[in-house]
Amino acid sequence: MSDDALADALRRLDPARTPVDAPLPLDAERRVREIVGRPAAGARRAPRARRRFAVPGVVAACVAVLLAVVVGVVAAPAPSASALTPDPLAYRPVSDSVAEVIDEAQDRLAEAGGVNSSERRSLSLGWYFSATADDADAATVFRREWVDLRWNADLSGQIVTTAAEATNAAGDTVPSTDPTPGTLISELTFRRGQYSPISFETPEATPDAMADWIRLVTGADEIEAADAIVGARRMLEEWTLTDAQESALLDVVEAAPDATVLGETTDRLGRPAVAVAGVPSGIASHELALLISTETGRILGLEDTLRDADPALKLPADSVAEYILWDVDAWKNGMR
Amino acid sequence: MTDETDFVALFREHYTPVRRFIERRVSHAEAAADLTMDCFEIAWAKRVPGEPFGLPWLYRTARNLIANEYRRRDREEALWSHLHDEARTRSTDGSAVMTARLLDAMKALPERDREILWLTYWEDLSAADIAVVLEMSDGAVWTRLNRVRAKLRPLLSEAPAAEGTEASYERRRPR
Repeated sequence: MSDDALADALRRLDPARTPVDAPLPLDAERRVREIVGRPAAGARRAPRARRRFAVPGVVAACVAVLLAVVVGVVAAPAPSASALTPDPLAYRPVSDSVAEVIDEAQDRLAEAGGVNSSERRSLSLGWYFSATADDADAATVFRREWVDLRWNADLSGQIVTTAAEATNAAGDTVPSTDPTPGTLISELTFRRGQYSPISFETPEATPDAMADWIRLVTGADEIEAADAIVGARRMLEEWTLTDAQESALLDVVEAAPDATVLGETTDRLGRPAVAVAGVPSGIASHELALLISTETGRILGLEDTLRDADPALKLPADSVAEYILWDVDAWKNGMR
Repeated sequence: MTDETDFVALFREHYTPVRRFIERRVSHAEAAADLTMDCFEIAWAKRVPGEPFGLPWLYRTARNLIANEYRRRDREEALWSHLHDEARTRSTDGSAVMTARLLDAMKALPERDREILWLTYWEDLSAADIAVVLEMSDGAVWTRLNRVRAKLRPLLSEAPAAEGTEASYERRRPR
């Protein structure tokens, strides 16, 4: 028997599971960004002992699209954490209850002319802040980025991340060191079978089906407002939902006993919205607000704000930790 | 190019080979993923700007990390159990006997000889690179590799004629 036959036999026993041409896992990209953002030689710490501060509960429950954002992030020394956060949205108080606010949104969703078929696509404009507990001065700043995920039933797909422009919201400026808006930051391609969605199909457009799905992805037995908002986020990070499906999602938010109305506002793209909020039970220092369009009833975005000052991050109370906006095709295409 | 940018570029280039290297030696998928990142964390901590690390250095670091895993004996047994399971899944009826025999023979090899074999055929490393990984001379690598080949070849010769067709595996052709 020749050496070639021996080589063939041995190679056939190769137990490596990761394909040679597999795309880099998104969590690995995120980890390496954390690693290079730390102090240099002699500063090695146990990898899993670290605590990540960016929207802790939400990040823990976050999906591939958010991780994809990190792909394009560059670790950069931050002049000061608070200087890099956009101003929080200003809310005008309203007298409506959560049920009234959501009922009005659902009435608008029920009007003809909205989105009638779901799509395996999520286009978002987001801004994220993150830092590490042991070195907040060398914070990792997550820039404002467009994240465009398109995927298919055969689990192929693509995530394209590009640098975004400043929005017209106060304090929402792009640092001068950032890449020019429109710069391609990363492009991840998934071959057939490689993309791993949270949900292969969207739940039925019923409150019960949506509630079941949210329980599944959040692990919550009794759905609180923050669970419903995180669940909505996870869904919208992989899917463009129909108006009927969004209406069912809003039913779940409405049913949460701790949901509150923050008031009316205009989001960072100038769209009129009303905000319904919740405080995650595991991270009471954050407040998650779901922005609902007062024109169409659709979910426009999510804002995550610190309720208390965070000395480790050197961020005062009311600082924005991240925001993410959906239904933004017109802005991405330059039509607005 | 900054230090960080250089490192991330090398990370992207070497991540999959290192991950595959560890997967071949650690059966638990999550542990393999963690060890892969631990390996790069060490690489970052020990980096020397302007002197990029190479795969052999990463493999050597990964070996040390894996050795820590193996200090618990059950980890190594789990690996061999995994290798047998994988081989059974991929084998045709005719090749199963030969495959089992080959695995048993590999398991019986001295650890360093087995590593030379795997680095040669699974990682496709040259003798010079293997020498870096195992911290030994090129000549010693060649001597040991030839000795191991001579030991394993008869196992294939004694195998049934129908075994081990290419169609029975979806593995890449040897380079």
